[in-house]
Amino acid sequence: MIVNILLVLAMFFVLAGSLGINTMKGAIPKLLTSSLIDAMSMILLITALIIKSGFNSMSIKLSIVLLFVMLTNPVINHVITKAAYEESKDD
Amino acid sequence: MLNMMMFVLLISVGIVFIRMIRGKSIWEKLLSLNLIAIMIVMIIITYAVENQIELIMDIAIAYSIIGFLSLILLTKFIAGGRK
Repeated sequence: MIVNILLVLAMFFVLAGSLGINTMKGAIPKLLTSSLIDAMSMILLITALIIKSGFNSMSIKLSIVLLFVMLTNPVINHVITKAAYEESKDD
Repeated sequence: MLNMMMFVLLISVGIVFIRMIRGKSIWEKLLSLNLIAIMIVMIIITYAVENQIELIMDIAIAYSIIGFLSLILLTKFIAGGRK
């Protein structure tokens, strides 16, 4: 029951993020909607899959994937946004 | 329910891929490429849990590491070349 609720929320955030990519103009406003997919939907989906699969070696690997993605996504977003800001400041 | 989740993710990859081709500047394209890598990792994880195949989870970990390295190096290369 709670797995289905989390999966429906994850689907909603994935669709909202991919439609928001199409409507925003410019690189820095697009960062706002891309964080819906790579932070919000990723946490919801992995939580649902951990609850569904129970406690075994698969859930430990799911936790490793969640930890790695949560550590590296802010780095990627910071590097891209800083490069875009430096370029827009020069012009 | 997991099949429907994979279908929604596949449609979303298509929408973001069209936006990556038609994007104006290079930074929007790199942002879309990051999103495509994240969503492919989500598809692999969902497939592994649905069919209970544990070896596919290692492919998901390796794919996330390769996506991180390629995005960082590509962004540093382009930003260093412009100055």
